[in-house]
Amino acid sequence: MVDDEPQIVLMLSGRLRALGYEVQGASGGKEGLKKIQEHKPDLVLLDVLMPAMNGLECLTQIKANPETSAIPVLMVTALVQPADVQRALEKGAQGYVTKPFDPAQLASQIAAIMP
Amino acid sequence: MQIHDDAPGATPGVSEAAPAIRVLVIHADPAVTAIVRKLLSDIPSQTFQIEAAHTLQQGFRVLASSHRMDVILSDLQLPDSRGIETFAKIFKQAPGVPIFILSDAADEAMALLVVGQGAQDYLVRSTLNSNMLLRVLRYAIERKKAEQRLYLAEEKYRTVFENSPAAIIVADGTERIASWNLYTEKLLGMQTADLFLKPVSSLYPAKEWMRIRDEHLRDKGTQAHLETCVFRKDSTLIDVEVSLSIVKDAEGRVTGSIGIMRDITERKKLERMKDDFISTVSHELRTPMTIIREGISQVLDGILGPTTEDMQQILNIALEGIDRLTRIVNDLLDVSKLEAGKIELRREHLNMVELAQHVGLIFAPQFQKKGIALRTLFSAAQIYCYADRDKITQVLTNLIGNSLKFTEEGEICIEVQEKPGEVVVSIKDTGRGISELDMRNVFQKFQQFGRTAGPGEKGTGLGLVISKGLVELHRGRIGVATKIGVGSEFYFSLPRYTVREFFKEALEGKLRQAFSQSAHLSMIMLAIKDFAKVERAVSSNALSGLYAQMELRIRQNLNRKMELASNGSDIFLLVLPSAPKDEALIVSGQIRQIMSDFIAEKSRVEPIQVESRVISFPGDGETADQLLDRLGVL
Repeated sequence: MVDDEPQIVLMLSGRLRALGYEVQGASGGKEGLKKIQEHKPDLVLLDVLMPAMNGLECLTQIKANPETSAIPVLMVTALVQPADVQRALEKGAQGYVTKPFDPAQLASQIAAIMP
Repeated sequence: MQIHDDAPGATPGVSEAAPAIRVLVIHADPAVTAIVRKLLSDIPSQTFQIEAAHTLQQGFRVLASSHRMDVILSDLQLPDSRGIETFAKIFKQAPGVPIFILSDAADEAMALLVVGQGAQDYLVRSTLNSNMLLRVLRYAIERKKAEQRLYLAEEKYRTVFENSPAAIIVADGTERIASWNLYTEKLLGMQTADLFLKPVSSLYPAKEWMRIRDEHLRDKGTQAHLETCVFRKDSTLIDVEVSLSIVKDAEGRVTGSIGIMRDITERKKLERMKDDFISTVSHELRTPMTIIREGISQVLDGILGPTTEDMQQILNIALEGIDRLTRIVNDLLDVSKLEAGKIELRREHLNMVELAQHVGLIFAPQFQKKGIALRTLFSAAQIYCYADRDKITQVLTNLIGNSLKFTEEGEICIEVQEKPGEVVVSIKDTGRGISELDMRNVFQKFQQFGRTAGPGEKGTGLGLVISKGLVELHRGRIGVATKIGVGSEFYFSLPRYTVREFFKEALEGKLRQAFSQSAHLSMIMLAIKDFAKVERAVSSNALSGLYAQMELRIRQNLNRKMELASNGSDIFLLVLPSAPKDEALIVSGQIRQIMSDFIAEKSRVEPIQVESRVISFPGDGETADQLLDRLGVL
């Protein structure tokens, strides 16, 4: 889970662990990419608005790398502009959730994507 | 005194303040000037200012240097000019100024000649006296007074024109700048050379000029008000509010236009700051809201351990609060975007009946819970509108939600009706109604009227503002009728488009882009022949989806940027940005094939004919109207 807000990572990790998932957190795009390379997760939850490297750039790099391109990515965003969502989907994201999100909705989205 | 009584037009007010009449005497003999001076000074009701010249050249110098003369007295025999020539030269030099010939001797023939050529009179020196001079100068005096009155009247308007704190620009019949006031020069930083006879269009960016032109055509009236921007001399843009009016002559021909511009840069700056602020705050609030919501839900969901019923009750209230905050933030963002004109409609042909039923169904559990009946009334099974599905859903959700909130018993009726030129949707309840006082503020921001906390979601006070904005974005109307204790009826209308209006709108946006980028733009109109036959052959269910499927098919088979619009039946319009005509002709052939194959496949009748016509911008026309005329769209 990549998000520049450590509290969000902490909160969501708790929820996801309770649902039976194993969670690794990263506080930025660069760190996220490194961890994704290392751990090859089954799913990436990616924040859109982050300093340094934003979610869309990070997404592009995940999809450009043959080793990670198959990993599904779910965008987590405070943006509600349809154009941004559209761009993320065009770049290969599997879906998106808008902050603040409903845990049940997030869980069902994850369940739908996870193999 | 006789002369005084005889004084012409002694109207009080004007005569008292009457300015001196300027007289130029041209005569070789200074004694004559002295006589005239003496005689005129005897006239009590009028003052005269006398300039003397002894030669014609001296006379011309006076005419050139001093103020306009009111009257000229001249001999024909001067040292540097003689006879009728003298009169002709003065007449030419001082057009419009009354000229009297002052001769030493009576000469009937000459008198007839000069008067015939435009002199006021032929006076003989020996017969001059005050009385006579006053009589002959009466015309000049009268004229001077009239001029003065005119000047005062004109001065009043000129003062208003020049000193208006708004730029006033007058254009001629060919849309070129004819005159302007001082403020115009200040606002635009321009001088005469930058303005005089320049096309009005040169003041605006191309895109804005097109918008202004469209406005005029559309209004069909003579006035338009809009916010736009104009160039200053240094090419920077400033935001202005423009009121335009067309000037017509008695026969109704357009002879020019007047534009009044006010600088709204500051206001726009503040509006943008407000919008940016709301947008930033809304985004910034989302992260802490997510954290709070997630924290509360995790405790509530028992992830961190068991909770008592009391704890759950408190946590549920907290969760409701945070959800309400989310709605407020979302609504605020919507209002701000609406006000900034940042919401773009994604319109399609949609069946309003189906949409109303769909939204009604979402509310079904809430209706059931409150024991309120939901009734629907549709004037037809399919009522098509050209609208943004998401936005109209939002309006319907808001209006139905509102009615439900304020209705304790009875029923809510959703009605969709076809009316001339529009589709009207109304939501009628048997609720408490709205008081007269509250009615005035129904569509204002943060107005929640006469509401006591009941069950259900609490509002944000912005729902109706957003609904109004969204309906108006569709060029529709929204309103309410109410009776205390009986119920309220909220309704909104969406305009029905003629084929031409519909296509015009689809075309205009693209045209503006092409215009500002100096790019090509081609249009293909496709008409299905014998559409009635197709309609009969295709089941009504398949027909409603025909457009969507056809669009999909065209998009799949034609991998390029384009805009597809349809009147919902037999006519399709394809807009191809950046495509020159020959390219569009090729595309047109492909599409005809795709369409006729598709229809044949769906309707299982013999191959259907599809007619097509291709036109291009700028070759075939420059405005949406011209292009549609060429396409033959009525």
